[in-house]
Amino acid sequence: MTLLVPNAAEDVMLQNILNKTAPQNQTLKLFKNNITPAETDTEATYTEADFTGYVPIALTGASWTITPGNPTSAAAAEQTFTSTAVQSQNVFGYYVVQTTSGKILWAERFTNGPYLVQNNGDLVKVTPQFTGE
Amino acid sequence: MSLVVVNAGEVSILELLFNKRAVFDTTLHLFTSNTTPSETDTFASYTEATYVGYSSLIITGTDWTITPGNPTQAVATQQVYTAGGPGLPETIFGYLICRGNPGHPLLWAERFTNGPYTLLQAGDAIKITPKFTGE
Repeated sequence: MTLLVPNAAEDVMLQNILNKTAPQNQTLKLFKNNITPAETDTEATYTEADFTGYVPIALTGASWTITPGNPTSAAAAEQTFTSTAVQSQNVFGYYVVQTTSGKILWAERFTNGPYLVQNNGDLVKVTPQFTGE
Repeated sequence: MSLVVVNAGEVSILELLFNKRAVFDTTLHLFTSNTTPSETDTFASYTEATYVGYSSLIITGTDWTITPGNPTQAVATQQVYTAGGPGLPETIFGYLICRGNPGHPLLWAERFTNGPYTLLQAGDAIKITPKFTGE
């Protein structure tokens, strides 16, 4: 499905855009609760994955490539989460938070998910993309 | 009409959000060209007001009040341009919000819905309350 920027994230983004608070690097996380992102979400709405081998991924300014146009888009390289044990956990989507504040920026449920992480070496790959319009 | 965030403005905003660019205050400008804002505009697409007493205004972070909700809104304190003497009359069609950097990189533009407004004499004023709505 399309990513969703909840109301709380709009607040953060406008504060950044209008120079009320400084922008931060971001952290990419997977969520394991079966929810559909909604406008009223906060970071607490999501239950972070915790399968063995899971590590949230840091995204810095250098991670993003911004392409002007109509629409302008920002894309990061593909990011990979790796299982390091035999286990069983569904991941339903990903969310991006500010690294320092922990505040949510956006979330997206996997269109063809959830993905079951069950084997040692299973991978979940996410290519973050954000489009202006 | 609704404001238009130009393509170059989207780049600036995304670079800022993703921590690729240093923060900046914004500047507010009036334009006198009969221009309807469009996505491909830059600051050079507009003619800035020139009447005596005119200067662009700086809007800092503390000028903005952000109200979370659906949609989330940012509203700045009312900005007032007051005409001096020479250079009048001058007709104002809308305003621009730019990065406060040299060359005034354009972020967004809005043409006055019920404009233009003509400044006829010293003391005439144009008042703008900048607003930006997320959705």
